[in-house]
Amino acid sequence: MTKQSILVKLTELFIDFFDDDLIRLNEKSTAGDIEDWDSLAQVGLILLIEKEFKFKFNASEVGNLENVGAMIDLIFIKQL
Amino acid sequence: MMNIKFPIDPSKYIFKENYFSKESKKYSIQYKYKVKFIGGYTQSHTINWLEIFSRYSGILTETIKSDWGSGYNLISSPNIFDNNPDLLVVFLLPQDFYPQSRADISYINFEQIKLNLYHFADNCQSKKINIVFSLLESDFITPPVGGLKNDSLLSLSVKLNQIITEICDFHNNVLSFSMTNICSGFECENITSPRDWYAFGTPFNINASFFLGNYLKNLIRGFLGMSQKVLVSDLDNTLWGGIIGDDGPSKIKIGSDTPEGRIFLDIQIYILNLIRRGVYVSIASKNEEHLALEGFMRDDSILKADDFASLEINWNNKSKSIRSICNQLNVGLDSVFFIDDNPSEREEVASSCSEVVVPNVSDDPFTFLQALKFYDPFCIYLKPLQEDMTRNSSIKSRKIESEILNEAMSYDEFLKSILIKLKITIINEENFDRSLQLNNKTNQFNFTSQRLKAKNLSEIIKNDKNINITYSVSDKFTNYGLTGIIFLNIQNNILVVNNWLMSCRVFNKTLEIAMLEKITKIAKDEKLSKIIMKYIPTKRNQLILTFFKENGIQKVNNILNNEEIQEWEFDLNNKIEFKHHVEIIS
Repeated sequence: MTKQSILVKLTELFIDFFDDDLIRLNEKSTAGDIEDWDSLAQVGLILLIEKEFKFKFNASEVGNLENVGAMIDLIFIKQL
Repeated sequence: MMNIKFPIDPSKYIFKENYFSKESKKYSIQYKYKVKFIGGYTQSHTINWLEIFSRYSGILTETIKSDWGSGYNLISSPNIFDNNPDLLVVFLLPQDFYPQSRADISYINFEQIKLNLYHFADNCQSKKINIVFSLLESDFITPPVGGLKNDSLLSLSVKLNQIITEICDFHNNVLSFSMTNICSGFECENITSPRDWYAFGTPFNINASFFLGNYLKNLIRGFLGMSQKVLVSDLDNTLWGGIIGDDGPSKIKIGSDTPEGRIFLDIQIYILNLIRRGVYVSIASKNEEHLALEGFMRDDSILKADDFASLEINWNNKSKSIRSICNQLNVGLDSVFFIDDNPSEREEVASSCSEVVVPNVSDDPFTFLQALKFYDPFCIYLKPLQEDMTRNSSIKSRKIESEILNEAMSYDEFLKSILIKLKITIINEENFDRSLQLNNKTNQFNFTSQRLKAKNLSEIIKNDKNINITYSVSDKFTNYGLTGIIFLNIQNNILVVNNWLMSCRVFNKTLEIAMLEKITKIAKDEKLSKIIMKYIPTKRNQLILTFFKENGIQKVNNILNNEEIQEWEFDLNNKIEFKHHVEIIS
């Protein structure tokens, strides 16, 4: 998957997860941009990404996913 | 209740937490309940799911998180009871019991731990706070523990769990749970992971949190007396494999010979245990009755025809059969949990009787067990009371009673012949749990239907101006136990009946007349001017109006600014004859 298609897929996942059709993501999107994106939601998002992309982050990677760009980069590397 | 599809796949729900959270808020709130979480590190997902599941069941749970840290240390903290919780959920982890620098269990003073935990449980009992402890599971991920050997960890868990279960045995307000047990049967694999511990601080994963939230909701339903009362089950492919009318009794699958038979055997064992705890189990099956009953005559059928509270084996719609069962057992449709392998039968019942709980099971019979475990409609994780254990003997005696009645005896003669005895006492520590349960489960003969939490009942009994009468009933067939309560209060020379409730198991025995005579005597002895009874009409308690009418009790007014609460007066000058067949014993 290209980084662009990962962004599209992530947007779909976020819309479904937050039950909010208005979500539009870009690489700079952070928890500050989405009302319900708190530390609790972060856990669910990480698990959802793992389920959809079929890999697991390790503990230190989890600590470095502060914005959507970081997520895309890591997903891109993991699938190589 | 939340509509769950079985076999249950938690990922269908946990990644849609926001959606279910919004949906759950559409349900109306019947109860509020405060839960405080102690220790166990990050419990946010459990708390979220507890709140979601509770709302679907009409309960608004207010959850309070304790400070971060060891559950064992926190229970000794002076502000443990802050926020006035109804339930404390205490998580204990192995590492709470030894300093990290000295990971050796030989330094642990188990006697001191036992004393501390007992003291905590006693304290909660006196404050009418419920506690649920997590049992220690030696394979939970813990922080690095240096030289702590695996067998030491196991030994620590065994010793501490022994202490906790002993405390549970000695305290009615204390329960314990095991995460492994809560998740078992749901194919919820790997409930712990080192990654989740280090990354999220959770000792178990999000799937386990989902099941724990649901389990805690079920406990709270139990504490609030919201359990169902009747399991109605189909027969073919529900209590045994195959169709008895087509295959014949010798070919149905039940017993240990086949995988399918083993599942049905477990279903029957589960149901037999429900019957033993006082759950009414009835059959609604489309079959020829004589053929169907042959299934229970097989040696390997654990359940026998005699075990059931009622049998509706005919060709009627299932909804009609369920209504008939409810009439026979004096319970409402909302007390029923219905299992049937056939989706069209389930649909017929769900659409005609929307109050009945109809789980969305599959044609795999194991999902019936999953649904029973997940919804826990009969709150089996709570300790049963003595009255629960004798309930099914009263059903059997009711059958005998109706046989006697058929022997051309008048109803009055019949009541005389069964030697009804009634014993009066007041609500005290000994009968507190049963009084609370009866108050919260009774719907029909219940003047106000006002539900109470343990703390509310405790406040009522502490108020000197209240007289809280309970009565226990027996006849020559059965001891029904504590089956009636009258909450009285004397104000301005008036005897006020704040609430009066009586179990449906003892209806039609003239007990209410005997008790009306009794409270009339109290009022006269105290030289009071009149008796006022408070009444809040509901869909279910209309029979109270018949009681009022038959005994000359007149509506006076609605309580000021509240159209729902009515006041009815019993005139003490009424020359009423209290005609009953009850002997009041001291």
